[in-house]
Formats: sequence, C-alpha cells, structure tokens
Amino acid sequence: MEDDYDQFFENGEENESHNNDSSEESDDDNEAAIDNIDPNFELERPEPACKSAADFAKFLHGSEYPDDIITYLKSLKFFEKDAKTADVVPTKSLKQTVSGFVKYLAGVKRIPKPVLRGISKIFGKYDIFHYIVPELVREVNNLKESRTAAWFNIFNFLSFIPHPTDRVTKPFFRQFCLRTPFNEKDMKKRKLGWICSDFDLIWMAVMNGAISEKLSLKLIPYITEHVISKLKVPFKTADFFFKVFDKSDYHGILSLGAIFRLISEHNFEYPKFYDKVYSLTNPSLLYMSQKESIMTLLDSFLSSTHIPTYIVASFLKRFSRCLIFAPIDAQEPILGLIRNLLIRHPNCIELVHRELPLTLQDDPFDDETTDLHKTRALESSLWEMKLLQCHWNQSVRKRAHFVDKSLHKIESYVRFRCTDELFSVNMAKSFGGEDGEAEKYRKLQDGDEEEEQKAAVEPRKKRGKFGGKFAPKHEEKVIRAVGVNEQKPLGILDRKISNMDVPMLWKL
Amino acid sequence: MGITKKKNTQKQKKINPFELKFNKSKHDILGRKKGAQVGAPTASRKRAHEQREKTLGVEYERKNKISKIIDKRLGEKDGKTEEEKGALRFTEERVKNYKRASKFNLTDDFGDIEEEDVLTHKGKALSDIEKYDKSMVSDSDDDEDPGNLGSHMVKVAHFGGGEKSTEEFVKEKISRESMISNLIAKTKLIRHEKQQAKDELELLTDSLDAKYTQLLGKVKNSFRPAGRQPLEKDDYDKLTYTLKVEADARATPADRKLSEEEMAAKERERLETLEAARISKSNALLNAHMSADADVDVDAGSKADARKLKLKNSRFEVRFDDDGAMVDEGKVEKLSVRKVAQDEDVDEDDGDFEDEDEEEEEDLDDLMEEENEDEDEEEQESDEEEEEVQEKEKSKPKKSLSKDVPFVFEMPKNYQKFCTLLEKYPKDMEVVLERLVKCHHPSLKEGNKKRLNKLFLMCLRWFDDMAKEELTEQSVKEMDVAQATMHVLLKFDIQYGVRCVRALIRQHWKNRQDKEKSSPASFALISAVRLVSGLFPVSDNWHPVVVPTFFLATEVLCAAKCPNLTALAKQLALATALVEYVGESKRYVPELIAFTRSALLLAVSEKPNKFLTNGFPISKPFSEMLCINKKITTKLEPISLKSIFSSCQADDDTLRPAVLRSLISLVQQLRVLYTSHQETYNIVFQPFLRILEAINKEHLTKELREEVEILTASMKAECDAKKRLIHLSLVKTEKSMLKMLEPRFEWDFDPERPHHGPKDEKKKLTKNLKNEMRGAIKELRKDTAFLARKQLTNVKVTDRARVAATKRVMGGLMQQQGEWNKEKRTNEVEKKKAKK
Repeated sequence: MEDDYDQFFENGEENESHNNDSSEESDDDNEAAIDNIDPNFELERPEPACKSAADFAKFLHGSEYPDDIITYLKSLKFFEKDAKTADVVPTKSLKQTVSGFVKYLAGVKRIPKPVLRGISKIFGKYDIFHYIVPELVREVNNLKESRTAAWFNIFNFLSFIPHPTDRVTKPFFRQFCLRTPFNEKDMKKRKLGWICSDFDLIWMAVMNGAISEKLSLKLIPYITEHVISKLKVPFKTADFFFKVFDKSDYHGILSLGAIFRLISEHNFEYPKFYDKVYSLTNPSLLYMSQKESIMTLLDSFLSSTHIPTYIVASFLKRFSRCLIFAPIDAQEPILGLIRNLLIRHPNCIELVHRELPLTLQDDPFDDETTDLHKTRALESSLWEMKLLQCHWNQSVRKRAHFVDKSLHKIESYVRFRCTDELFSVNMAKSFGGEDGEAEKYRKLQDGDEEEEQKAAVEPRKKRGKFGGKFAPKHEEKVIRAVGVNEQKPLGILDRKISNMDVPMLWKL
Repeated sequence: MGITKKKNTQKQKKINPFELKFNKSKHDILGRKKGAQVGAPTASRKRAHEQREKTLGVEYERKNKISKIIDKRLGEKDGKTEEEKGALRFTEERVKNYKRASKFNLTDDFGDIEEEDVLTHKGKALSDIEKYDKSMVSDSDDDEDPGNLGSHMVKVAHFGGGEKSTEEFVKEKISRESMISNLIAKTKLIRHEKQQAKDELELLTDSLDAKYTQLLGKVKNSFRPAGRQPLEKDDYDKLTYTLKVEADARATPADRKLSEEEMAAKERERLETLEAARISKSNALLNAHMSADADVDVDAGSKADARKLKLKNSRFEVRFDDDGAMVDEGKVEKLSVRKVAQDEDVDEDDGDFEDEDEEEEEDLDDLMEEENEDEDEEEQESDEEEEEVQEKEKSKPKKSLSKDVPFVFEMPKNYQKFCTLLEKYPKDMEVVLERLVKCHHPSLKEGNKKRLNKLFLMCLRWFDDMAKEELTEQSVKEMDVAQATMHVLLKFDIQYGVRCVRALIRQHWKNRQDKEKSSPASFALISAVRLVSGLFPVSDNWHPVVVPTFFLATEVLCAAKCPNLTALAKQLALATALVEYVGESKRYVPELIAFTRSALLLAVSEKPNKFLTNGFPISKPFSEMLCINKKITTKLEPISLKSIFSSCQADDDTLRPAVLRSLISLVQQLRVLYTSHQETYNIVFQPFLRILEAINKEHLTKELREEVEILTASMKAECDAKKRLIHLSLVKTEKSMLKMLEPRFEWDFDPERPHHGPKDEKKKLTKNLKNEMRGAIKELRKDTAFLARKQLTNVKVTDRARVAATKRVMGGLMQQQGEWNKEKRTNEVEKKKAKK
C-alpha cells in the first residue's frame, strides 16, 4: 500500500522536479522566459472561477495524483494588481486555496503520510508556505486537543518541510505566473529571513497549542532533533517542554532530553536538571516500550565527566535498584551503563571496592528522597550486583560479575537488544554435539566436494568483510550438552515444589 | 678381596675364557666406581635367550591358537602293546569306580595329586579317630553290618578267586566247610571280647558320671549359669545368620543383565506372544459355538503362533480389525502389495525428514505441515484401506474396549490416524502409547528411530491441541499421558525432541509477538512452560529449550495487561509455574519480583509505592481489584482453572480472596527462595513488607488473615536479621614475591659428595625414568629380534622340510626315469637284436 504511494509520488516528484528545473532556470537567468507573454497581462486578466475553501479541501481529499492538483492550480489566477497601490497582491482564489488547504489539514480524516509527503511537495514551497503560515497558525491556536487527526496531519505536514538553512525549496508560483510579490527586490533580499521566521512562527504555534499526549511523544523527539537548533531563540521551546514534563515519566524523560540539548548546545540554564532526571528514573521506566530511547537519553545525560561524584553515585545506586526489577532486555545495557559510569568517574569506585569495608546496620542509601545531596549513595555499595549474579540469564550473570574484578580502563558500549532479538540469539545457539557432528560428516561424505569447498570458503570471506577490528577473533564453537530429566515428569497441574503450609490453591 | 677373587675365578673357571670380555679402563679416576671389569656376553645372551624362550617364546607359539587337544588316551603315546593298554584301562576304570563308591571318604585323594591333604585332629590323622569312632558306634548292630568283617577275612572269603598262595590253595582244597566254621567261631570270639570291653567301659563311665554329679552338687553355686542362654538377637546377628543361610542364594547368579537391544527385542516378543494369545482367545470365542472344547484355545494359540512365525518370515504385517479378528488371507495379500508401496513411501518421507532436520528455524506448524504433506500422498493410497477399516468400525460397534487392547500396534501414519487410534482406546491411552513405543524400539528395525520421532511430534501436537481445547479432567489426563510418553521418547533422540519443543516455544513466541502481545497467558502457554520443566532440567546453566522458555514466560509476565481478575489469575498461574523453574537453582527473576509486587499493590488502596510493570490498571476501581472490602462468608476455595480459562467470566467476589491467597503464597515462596541473598534481601523485600502491612485485613477470612500475618511476620523477622551489611571490596589477589637470590648454606658440606639441591629428588627420579625407559626400549628391541629369529627358524625348518621332500620326490622321479630309460634302451637293443 505504502509502497504504491511512494512509487507514485516518486513519479510525481520527477515530473515536478522537471517542471521546477525549467522554472528554476528561468529564475536563475532572471530573464523573461516567455517573452511573448506580457507579464502584466497575467495580472490584469480577469480572475477565473475558483473553488471555495471547503470545496478545495474536498477536492484535495478526493484527488488521487498531485498532477490533478497542479492542473487545477494552473487554471487559477493567483495574483492581481491592487487597484490602489499597484502592488502585486494575492487574489481571492489564492486565499481560498490556502484556507482550503488548511481546512484539508485540519479535517477529521487522518491523511496517510505518503500522501502528505506528496502534497508537501506542492504546498511546502517557501512562497506558498508564506501564505499558508498565518492561516495555519490561526488554525493551530484554535485547534482543540481532542482532534488528533488534525494534529497529526499538521505535524506530519510540518515535518516534511525543510528548514531553509538545510534546503531552500523551489518557488511555487514560478510555475504558474511570472510576476509575484516574491519577485520584488526587498522580498528577495531578505528571503532567508522571512522564510525562517515563517518556520519559527508555525512551530511556536504548534508548541503552544493544545497538544495531546500521544502527539507530544512524537513531537518532543522531533523538535529536539530537528527544530530546536533551527529556531532563532531556542529557549522559547523550554516552555513547551516544561508543559509536557509532568504528563508522564516518559514525557518527562523526553523533555529532559530536549532540555539537556538546550543546556549543552544553547547555554540554557536549568539548575536542578539532574534532580529531575533522578526523580524520573525508576524501574517502571524500563518496562516501557520506549526503553531503548530512554536508555540512550540516560546515557547521554550522564556522559559528561564533570558531573559531581555524589550525583553519579546516586545514579549508580538508582540504576542498580532499577535493575532488580528490570526486564531482561534492559538488564545488559544498564549494567553496561553502570560499568561505564564507574570507569568515567573513578571516584565512584568506592561503591564497588573499599579498602576498609565497614559493617553497616542497613543500606545507607535512601531511595525515597529526590534530593541528590541526601541520598547518601556514596556511603553505600552496589550489593545489587551480587543479586544479579544469580540472574536467570547467563549473559546477565556474566556481566554482573564485573564488580568482582578490577575495572577495565576503557568504556565499552552495550548495544540494546530487544527481547525478540535476545530470544532469537538464544534459539540460534548451537546445542548438542554428537548428532550434529555426525550429520556434518555424513554430509561431507555425501555432498559434492566442490560445493563443500565453496561453502567452506564463503564464510571466511564474509568474516573478512564484516569483521574489522572488533570482530570476534574466533567463532564461538561450544558444544552444549542437552540435558534431559531422568525422573518421570509429574502431571501438568501438579506442583513441583511442595510448600507444606500452603493449602490447595489451584484446581481444575 | 683376595678370597672373593679366588672364588670368582673358581666359579668362572667353568666358562670358556675365550667367551669372556674384559673392560679396559684407560684412566683410573679416584672416587669413581668402576663398572664390572669382566663380563661374559655369550653366557648372558644365552641366559636371556632362554628366558625369552620360556616367556615370549611360549606366548609366540600359542599365538592364534585358541585351544589345544590333549590326548588322554591311555598308553597311546608310549607305544605299548594292546594288552598293556587294556590293563591300564582296566586299572583306571577300577580306580574311578572305587572313587565313586567312597564319595564321602574325606581322606580320599583326588586324582593324581601327590601331596594329599590329610585331615588331622590334634596332630593325629582323622582316619585313626574315625576308626575308633566307628567301632564304638557300630558294634551294637554288628550282625547286620557286612562291612565290619576283618580285612583279611574279606579278602579271603569274598574274593576267593585270583592269585592265592599255594598253602591257602591247598587248605581250601582240604576242607572248605571246616574252614568256614572256623572263621565263624573266630569272629564270634572277637565279638564277644568286644562286647565285654564295651560293657566295662559303660560301667566305668557310669561310675564316673555318678562321681561327677556328686562333685557338681557341691560346687554348683560357684559356677556361672550353665547351658545355653537365650541370646537376644541384634541386627548384626541377624545379618550374620542371613549371610550364613542365604549366602548361596545370593551367590547364585541371577539372569544376566540384558543389553538394551535384547531388552527391547524381548519386550516386543512378549507383546507379540500376548497379542497372539489374545487373538487366539478371541478366535476361540468365535469358534465357541462350533466346538465347546477347552483345547480349542490351545489349538488357536498354536495357530496364532504359527501365524506369528509366518509373519516373521514374510515381513508383511497382519492386520486386525478392531475386534482383534484377523483380516482374512486374501485381503492380507492385497494389503501386502500396498504395504510395499507404502514402505517405499516411508523411505521417501524419511528423506524429507532429513531435509527437515537441516532447517533450524521452523515452527511446530511448519513441522506438522511438512509431515502432513508427506502424508497426503500416502493417504491417497491408504484411503481405501482406511475406508475398509472404517466400515468395519461402523459395522461392529465398539464393545468391551478396555479389555481388548492389542499388544502390537503399527505406527500411525499421520496425526489424524494417531488421534483415531487414541480415541479407540480412551481408557488405555498410556498402555497404547507404551506398547507403541515398545514395538518400535530403534534396535528392532531400521527406520524405527524416525518413526519414534514422528510419534514424538504427534504427541507434542496432541499435547498442544489438548491444551488449547476446553479444560476438562480428561484433557488434563491426556496431557499427562502425552507428557509421559514424550519423556520416554526423548531418550531415543534427544536432539529431535529438543527441536520439536523449541518449535513449540517459538510458535508461542511468535504468537505473542504478533497478535496477543498484551493478552494474559493462555493455558496452552502455561502448560507448555510446565511441559518444558517436566522434560528438561530447568537449573542448567544454559539449555536450548529452557532458556527460550524463560524468555517466553518473562516476556508474557512483563508485557501482558491485567485489566481484570481472571487475567490476573492467569498471570498468577504462569508466575507459579515460573517459580518452579528457579526452585532448585534459586536464580533471580526480576520480572517475577516486579510482577508480584505490582500485583500485590492491587490489594492495597493507599499505595505506598508505584506500579513497577506497566500492565496494571492505574485508575481507581480496577487498581483496587484485590482489595477485599466486604466480609466474605463463603469458604475459601482453590482457584478453578476451568473457570479462569473458559470464556465466561467468573464471579469476582469469590475469585478475589482465592487470587489474593495464591498471590500471598507466591510471595511466601519467593521469600523462602531468596533468603540466601544476604545483602539484597532487604532491598527486594522491604517494599513487599510495606505493601503487606498496608493491606486492609479487616474483612479477610480467618485463614487468609492468618496467612498474611504469618507472611508479614516472617518477612519482617528475616529483614531484621539481614540488616547488617558489609561494604563491597575486591578480593585482593596476592602478588607472588620475586625470587630472592640469597645464598643457600649447606651445613653438612662434603666436597666428595654431590651437592644436595632442592631439585635433587626430581633429578634422581627423572634419571631413573630415563634409564628405565632406555632399558625398556632395549628390551623391546631385543624381543623383536628374538621374535624375528624365531620366525626365521620356523621358516627355515619348513623350507628344509620342503627341500627334503622335493629332493625325495625328485630322486624318486629320477630313479623312475633312469629305470624307464634303461628299459627303453634294453628294448631297443632287443629290437635291434630281433631285427638282426
């Protein structure tokens, strides 16, 4: 389905770009490409009939190909000469088109992303966008939170529009008419300026709008990634982040990510940043489906080596506390993070190793407080690792043993692997020895020798290709014996552990 | 010195001085031991040769010879005459007979052993005492006893013939009667004397006895209680007694322990005979109206046996309809043709199976499908046959099902047939499966392993299907049977079994990934988890089945949502299944702890901490689904799995306390499980404690309240006990010291002796080893040389014999030729003469 769309839009794009090319040429050369047409004629010709805004919105919904829209647009007259000032001003039909488009976006129907991408190729051009922005801002300011479809349409549409510093889109009106307000000199001079302010305007409007939780989950990362650094005054976004901060833990983390970016890249001042992060870090965070992004964010928050030791220690304790309840896919990355933190901050080695181990009455670490000064984490130790050394998964067990050895000098990165991946890794492990071996030999005897040789050569090549410096030096070839229970199994419903003081809890 | 030298020379005088070899030493070194100055190499070589001849030579000669014939014929080797041989044989025979007669004669010698063991008593030969005894005992019945005649008398009277001295000959000739009367008189006299002596002896003993009793009466008090005391027997005594009495019984060898194949064959044999008997019985029933004789049974049995024999000989199997009657001969033959065709098919799908094996990544469904594809082809062929069977099934309603389970089964070709087979005997499924397995033991026939694999797969599928069906006692029982069968089958091919179960797990996993991402655990899943723990050791470090199952279970535990009580109960069932995984190994399962804690929070209205996993409802009415606010009057019932896993919603009010109760017991189990974690116990269980304390116990039933209180109290005690903590510190590994080059003093230094180093002992041993090694190699070399020589001599001997034989033959031939030539010549001469 989507592929079809893409294919189709690619075609459309080609066409368009073709058109654009020709128009651009003319733009660049700055010569009247069509000499025989008097530019003024266009402005003066009578305005043909146009669709009303609502009709146009409907038309947009109905139109299958961008070409249809283009052909319709071609039939329109966009600009006319103002009778009084003799300036080139937009016609009524242009206004209708713009408001029709805004209506289209703010409709009830959710527009599929590929379609929007195609449409943004038309309406995302900087000149027509300039007309759309004020209209859209007005719409956004009035848009209610409940209208998810409209919000998503607008967000998707905006996400397809590049910032002028990245790429300036081709002018839109050049396709249809020669004289536009954008041809004026002062317009041209400050082109980047006003395009940027368009961008700022619309994004600020979106951020100030009533955004639903769901959308904000998408919006925050996008803004952090693409928008913040493009804005003229990035601090303005902070309001937005503070607004969504309290919605949920994940929101909090995400907006903290954005704030972190503001702090690190734009000199934003936010005093109790780490306290906030600390209070958000809890085990349930690791049960979310977005744990991967959460973990990368946490990693980036703590990547600095200039964080005070007490903060790092508190985080170390907090992370290990989280691990006690964390699901399997979070275990290894967090364990890796803990180890890296210990390497990064050698002062925290106290948590793992003390020259004079004291005997304490209780774990001094206070899990409840949100004040990082009062956690007393530095007086504690990472006993949690001892528990994780008995984890049911072998690799976690192995990894948790790092507290028993002297620390490495170099940090190492632990890739996040989702449970599905971990599952398939475990399924792919070889097991059982003898039969497999026998099979192999039998095959060796039966099969073509040439084939065998080929097969033998190929993997070596592959290894050479993908290996590189960090590739494992030798392939792990461990024969794992397969155990089988000797005793006869009990019934399916029978308890295998007898808990003497507990009565029958389950029955058929 | 001089004396010893003299002696040596005297001894060595016998040796030819030319055979001696002298070691000349060029320099004399003080303090060094001189080796032997003179040696006799030839002599020692000879000695060695002789020694080898005795040991290695004997062995060489015996090589490849298993037994030897000993000629025990008498006098055959010595070249004796026929008469002498006869005499020898006769004596031998006599000796043998004599031995047999005196079987109980202890003093008798055994065979040719020269030093016979003489039994003695107090240094006297036992035979002497015996004789004395004999006279004592036997004189009362002297008259009858013929053995007590004097030897002389016997000799004379009984064996009157033979060689006699001339005197006796004459005497006998004079008066045989008088002689005999004389003899009788003599013996009578002797008897009389004996009798008298005996009487005297008796009198004497009587008087002695009387005296003794008199004496005894006087000293009786100073004696210990006489006579045998009834001893109390303790274990030791009993043991010794049994050892004494039953020693023989224990020592007698039992039946030899059979190898696996033999066992299988035997088992099958047994089943087949039983089957034959069964058939014969049913035949007998059929024939009963024709002949009511009892021996019909036997007859039929023998017939069945004959059939069995035939069956064995002619490879195709006999079919029975479900009453056990045999399908008649004509049909059998028809079937047999088809059977052959099927066999080929089986081979084909065996091949397919192999292909299948190569793929690692496959689902249970894939496995089944592939198999079904194979079977589809078969099915077409076997359709007719099946119809036949079905018709018969229809025509003969099932009667006396449980009685008539055949003993021999054919492996069902596909899952449908497997199911129909099992449905046929709903009460004896385990028996059917057991027999099915036994009939197809891999050692019995080629390809049986594949068949058993197939059976495993079918059992697994059956298991899975049963788990997916509505829960009844029957289905659970069937699952148990399937599990037990799989357990048995797993021994035949572990790899395949593991692959199948992994496929099942993968299938569940995929299901979870696709559609049921947040739905609670199904019964099929829980039973699969249980199956794995039943079949495989769950506490292994890494196990190809258990670890993926762990992933599956924890994933379900984490991801599933619990919007209502039944869902929670399902998850709880899974959790209890999972606890059993770590029961032995005490491994830590964070997901389980998180789940339990979050679930326990549902029982509290004012939550002391947040939910851990995100599967639990946060909003008010649902987030307190385990809070019991009403007084419960009904008795606490265990959770009914049937009601949980059926589609209809169970009554929340009755379910709530039960779920809470099982949750409490789960917490209890976890508490017990992780007590060994000294440092982290508090970290894990403090939150639990807080929640438990916050539970409103007002409306709980008495039992439940008690349970909660016990748990709280025990957990609190444990937490208090484990409060003490010690900071972590790395265990320092001791660095080994650098070796110091300090001087080592030797207090008893003696320049003439070698130094005592610390490695002396080792040096000595290595030197010894080296020497020994060298010696052994030398010996071996000499051995081979000896053997080669021996072989050479053998070859030479045979060569010589052959040459001699050839020479002899050639000589004979030449002689013949010469004679023939001579004759020819004379003939010619004669001819010439005649011509002339």
